[in-house]
Amino acid sequence: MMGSGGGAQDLGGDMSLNKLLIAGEGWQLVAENLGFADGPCADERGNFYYSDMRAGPGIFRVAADGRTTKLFDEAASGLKFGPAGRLYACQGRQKQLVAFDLKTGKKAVIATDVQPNDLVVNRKGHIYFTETGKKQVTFVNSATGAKQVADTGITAPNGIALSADGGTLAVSDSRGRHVWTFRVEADGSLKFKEPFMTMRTAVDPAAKSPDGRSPVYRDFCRGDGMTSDVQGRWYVATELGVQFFDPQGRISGVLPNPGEKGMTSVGFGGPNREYLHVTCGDRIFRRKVLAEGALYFTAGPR
Amino acid sequence: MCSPALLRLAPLLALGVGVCPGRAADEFRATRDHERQAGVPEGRVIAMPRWQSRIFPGTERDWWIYVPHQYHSNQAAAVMVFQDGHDYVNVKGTWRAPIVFDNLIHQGAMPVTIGIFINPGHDGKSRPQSPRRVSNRSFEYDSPGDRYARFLLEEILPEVAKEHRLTEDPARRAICGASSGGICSFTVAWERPDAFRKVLSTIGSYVNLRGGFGYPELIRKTERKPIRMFLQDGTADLDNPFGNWPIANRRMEAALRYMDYDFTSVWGEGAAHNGKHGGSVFPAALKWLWREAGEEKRAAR
Repeated sequence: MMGSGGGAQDLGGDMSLNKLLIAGEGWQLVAENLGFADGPCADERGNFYYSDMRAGPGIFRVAADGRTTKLFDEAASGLKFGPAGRLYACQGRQKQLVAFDLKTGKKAVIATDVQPNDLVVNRKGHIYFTETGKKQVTFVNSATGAKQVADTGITAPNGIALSADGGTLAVSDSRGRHVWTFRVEADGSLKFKEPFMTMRTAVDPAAKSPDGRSPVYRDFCRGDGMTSDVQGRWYVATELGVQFFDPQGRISGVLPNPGEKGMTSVGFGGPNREYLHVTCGDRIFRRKVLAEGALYFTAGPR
Repeated sequence: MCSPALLRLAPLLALGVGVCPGRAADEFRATRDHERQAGVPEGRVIAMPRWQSRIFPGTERDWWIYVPHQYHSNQAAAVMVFQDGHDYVNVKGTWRAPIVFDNLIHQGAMPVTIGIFINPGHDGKSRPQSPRRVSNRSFEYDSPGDRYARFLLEEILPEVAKEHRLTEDPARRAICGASSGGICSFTVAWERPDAFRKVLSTIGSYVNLRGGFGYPELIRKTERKPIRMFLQDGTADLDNPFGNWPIANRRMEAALRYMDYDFTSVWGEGAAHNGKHGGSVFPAALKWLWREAGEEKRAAR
C-alpha cells in the first residue's frame, strides 16, 4: 500500500518519492487524543518532542523506546533545540519566546513583545522566528539578546527551517503559494529572498472559472511547519499533506495527510532522525523514511 | 500493440477472454457474459425518482439501481457506480451491465454488488432531448476536485442506503465511466480513496477539457493511493482541440506504472471514441477489478 514508485529511469539527481519512501513502511500512530499537536522536533540523542496546545497543555518527549514523558505544563506553537541542550519555544499568546533548560527545568525569557509562531535555531544560537500576523521574520542573537527585523512582506510567514549546512533559511507562506528562501549571512542577516518553492494547491470547487473550463486552484495551501534533511530536501506541512522539495526547489512529492484533522507541522525524530513525524490536530504520526533529519544547532558549514 | 500491454493481461487471458486487440476493427464483440444464460437468476433494475441535487443546485437527473437476485439485507452489498448510467443500464447496448452482473455474480466472479447508474445533471427548467445532451455533464465530470465525489457520498449513496444495505469498505466500492465519465471516475477515487478504490475507465478524457490533463504528473509525485484501476482506450480514439486521447491515456498508463499502481490496461487496435471495445472487454474488466471474489470462489472449491 505504501508505494515507493518505480524510479528505474530516474536521473541521479532526481529526488523522487522512491528516494524517500520505503516499501511496506507506512504511517504509525505516535500519540492520539491530543488537544492540538504542534512543535515537532528532535534532539541529538534520538528523542522526539512535541507540544499539546490545548488538552492539558504541555511539552512532551517521546523517547526512542516510545515512552512519553511530560516535561513542562505549558505549551508552545513552535519548538526547536538550540546549542547547550536548550529547548526554545514560541509562546505567542504570552507574546514571548522562551528557552527551557532541560537539566534544571528552568525557563529563560529570550524575547518579549513578540508574536512568535514558529522558529529555528542555528549552531551560533541565532534564532529566526516567524511573526505571522506582522508578516515578519525576526532575528534574535541569543548570546547578546539583540533583536531585529530579518524580513517583512511574506503574506503569512509560518513554518521555518534551515538547510542542513545552515546557509539557507526557508519560510513557508500559509496564505500564499510559495516557500521563500534566503541566504543567511555571517552576521545573521538575510539576503537574496526568492519564492524558491511552489507548493501544490487544491482545486477550489466553489470558485468560478474565468474561462468557464479551467479549474481554479487555490492561491494558498496553508503551508505550515517545516523541516529539512541532510540530503538537502525541504518538507512543508500543508492542507494537501506533506509536500517535499529537492535542493533545486522543485516539488519532489506529496504524502497525503494520514489523519482527519489538518496537518500543522512536520519534524524528524528517532535514533538517526529517520522518522518523519506529522502533527495532525488530535494525533501525531510517524513513518520511517530514507532521510536523516537535519539538526540545525549542531550543523556546521560543509 | 499486443506486446507490453499483453503481458499485463495475463489474468484476463487466463480467463479465456479474447482481449488481445489483434487486428480487430472498431467493433463490439459480445461474449457469453453479455448474453442471458439459462438458470442464471436476474436481478432487478429500479428506476429511481428524478434527483434534484443540492451540491449541483438547479440540476435534475435520471438514475437507476440494479439489485442482484442474491442480495439480502443481512449482508452489506458491494457497490459500483456508473457515470452516464443510461448507457450501462441498457441491456441492448454494448455494456449490458444488468446481464453481465447477473452472470458474473452467479459465477462468483464478482461479489453481490448493487449497481448505481446515474446520469449527469441537466438544467431543471427543461427535459434534455437525450441523456447525451444534458447541460451539466462536462462541469460535473471533467472538473478536478472533490465536488462530484461529495455528490455521490453525501446525496446518492445515502439515498440508496435508505432501502439497501451497502458496504462501507472502500475496497468493495467501484466506480466506472467512459470518456468524461472515465476521468470523473478516476477523480472520485483520487479525491476519496477512503470511499472508492476500484476504477474502470474507458476512453477516458485525461485531456484538457477542464484541466484533467494534469493527473499523470500528480500521480508521479503523490504517494501511491490504494486505488485499483482498469484502463481501456483505442488507438483510433479522438485527436481534437482538447488533446489526443490515446496519448493522454498512455501518459496515465505510464504514470500508474511508474508508481507501481495495481492497474492494467487494454488497447483496442483501431477502436474509436465509443463503447464498442470498452463494452467488449467490460466482463473481463469486472473480473479483473473484483478478482478477490473469483479467487475466493476458486479457493472454496
